[in-house]
Amino acid sequence: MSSRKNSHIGSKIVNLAIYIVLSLLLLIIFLPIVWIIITSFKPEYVVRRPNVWMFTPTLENYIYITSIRPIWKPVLDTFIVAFSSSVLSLALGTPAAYALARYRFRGRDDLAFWILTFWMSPPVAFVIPFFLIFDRLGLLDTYFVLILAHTLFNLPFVIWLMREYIRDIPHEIEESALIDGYSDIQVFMKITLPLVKPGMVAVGMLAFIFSWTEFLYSLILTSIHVRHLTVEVSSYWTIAGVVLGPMTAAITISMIPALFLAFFLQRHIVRGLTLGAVRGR
Amino acid sequence: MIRDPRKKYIIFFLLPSMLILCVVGLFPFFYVLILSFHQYRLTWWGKPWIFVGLDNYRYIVDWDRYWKSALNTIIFAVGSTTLELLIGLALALFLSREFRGRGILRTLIIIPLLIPPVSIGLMWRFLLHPLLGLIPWIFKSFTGVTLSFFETGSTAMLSLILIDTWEWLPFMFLVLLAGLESLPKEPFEAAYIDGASRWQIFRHITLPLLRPVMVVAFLLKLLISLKVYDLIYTVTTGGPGHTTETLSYLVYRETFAYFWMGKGAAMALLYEYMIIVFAVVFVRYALLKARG
Repeated sequence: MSSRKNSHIGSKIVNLAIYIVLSLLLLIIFLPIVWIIITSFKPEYVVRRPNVWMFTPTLENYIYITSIRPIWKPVLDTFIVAFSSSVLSLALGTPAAYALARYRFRGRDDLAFWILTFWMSPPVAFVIPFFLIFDRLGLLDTYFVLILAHTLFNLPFVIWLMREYIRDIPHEIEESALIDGYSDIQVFMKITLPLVKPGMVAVGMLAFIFSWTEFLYSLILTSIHVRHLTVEVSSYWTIAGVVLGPMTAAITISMIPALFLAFFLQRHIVRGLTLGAVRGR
Repeated sequence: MIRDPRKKYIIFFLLPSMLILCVVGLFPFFYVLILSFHQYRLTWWGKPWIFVGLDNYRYIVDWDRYWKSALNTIIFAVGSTTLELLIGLALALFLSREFRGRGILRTLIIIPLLIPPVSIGLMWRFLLHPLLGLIPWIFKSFTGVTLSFFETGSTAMLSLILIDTWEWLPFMFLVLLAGLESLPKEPFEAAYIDGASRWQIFRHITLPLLRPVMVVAFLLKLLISLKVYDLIYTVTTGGPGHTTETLSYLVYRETFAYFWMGKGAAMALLYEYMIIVFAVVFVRYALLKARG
């Protein structure tokens, strides 16, 4: 009886400890984010003084980033590029993933890894030839060049991860369809694709985020006609100085997809970022 | 699966991707390879490249700044990844039990992974700024000392590592948590019945069983950190001096700030080879091993 009582008290202590650790963890993660969001509502004279806590919230920083240096163009551009690049990667990559998951052929695993090396390569090694080639073609500072550049890392990622999702589907279903006289392409279109749709949505969202958060290609390959949000945000603090209030407002805007997609991606993020090696819950 | 007569379908499914990868991957790779044997400056618009053989590579081999930045890259990558692994493991062990709010925690905690690193860098540069920042101000109001994080090389590097930890700790934590949850129950029950201590269970059962997951998480995060660019650009711009200059940042400077394209190409390729060798030798093996 007494031992049961002890363990009850013990579990209460453990519970308390868990909530203390949790609060600390969430504090460390969210204090910086919340501070940025608070600062974005501060009037000009308070922004530079961390010790001032009382102030009247103002929208002046948001007015600045919508009227003086409009952020909607970069937001729209980034959305167009991220959306196109992830859809293109899914459209091209899913059939390739299917081939790598379902057919046995010589050099298959080497081919799959070769594809992945493009994801692994440092972007700086590809941005040099991209710049020179597309400059010669007169295609710098277009959606086209940035979508292609982002596809270079998103396509390998999609192929590698979709292969994992396709492998999860029992292949007996596909085989019975083959026996029923479906061609391989019909099997892929009518059996596999519908089954793997949730995986495609998750992988597409991850590819979208990778493109949304990308910086180096965007910095070098585009400038005025197409402007990535990360380039826009980074331009608020340069050697020329810092425009602090509007910068925090711009950072806040750049975090919005993260806040939205966190809910949908929490079940897929472990699998996604480990390239399928570790299964999330 | 016996599908030999269907080989033509393999080509049908693979061809579009392979074409794109050849155009945006393989062609640029050979382009930069050829460029690395030439001298060419961006300011020479249109003029031909000058063939210099292996001169660019010879120059790099003797160039201290290149190897110093390679070392910086490794210090940053190994330092941050190790720190994240240790804290992540402790957190995962501690929180791998049922408690209320677990689902919400899992959702909230991935947010740093989805924010642009550029925003994270600027956010922390602001928070750590000696005059404008929240953290030096809090510290000063308790101790009277003004902290400046970016004035010496070692504190600047440490700050970068801590910022990276803020971003990537959730990754380590969640991967290790997923690893812990997938472990079989029987060894733990058997050890418990045999009267093993908590430490013994951790040392001889949890750790060995969790090792493939730890290895793959460590290596993948290391690979990503070896490419670090955004944080350096936004937080320290390689300074003070060149103390936090990483390879990505150095190559960027050489090519798009000083316009030495040929030399930059050689630097970038050497850097890429190092990463690919690392990936082929370690990461490939770890990926296969972790999946079982």
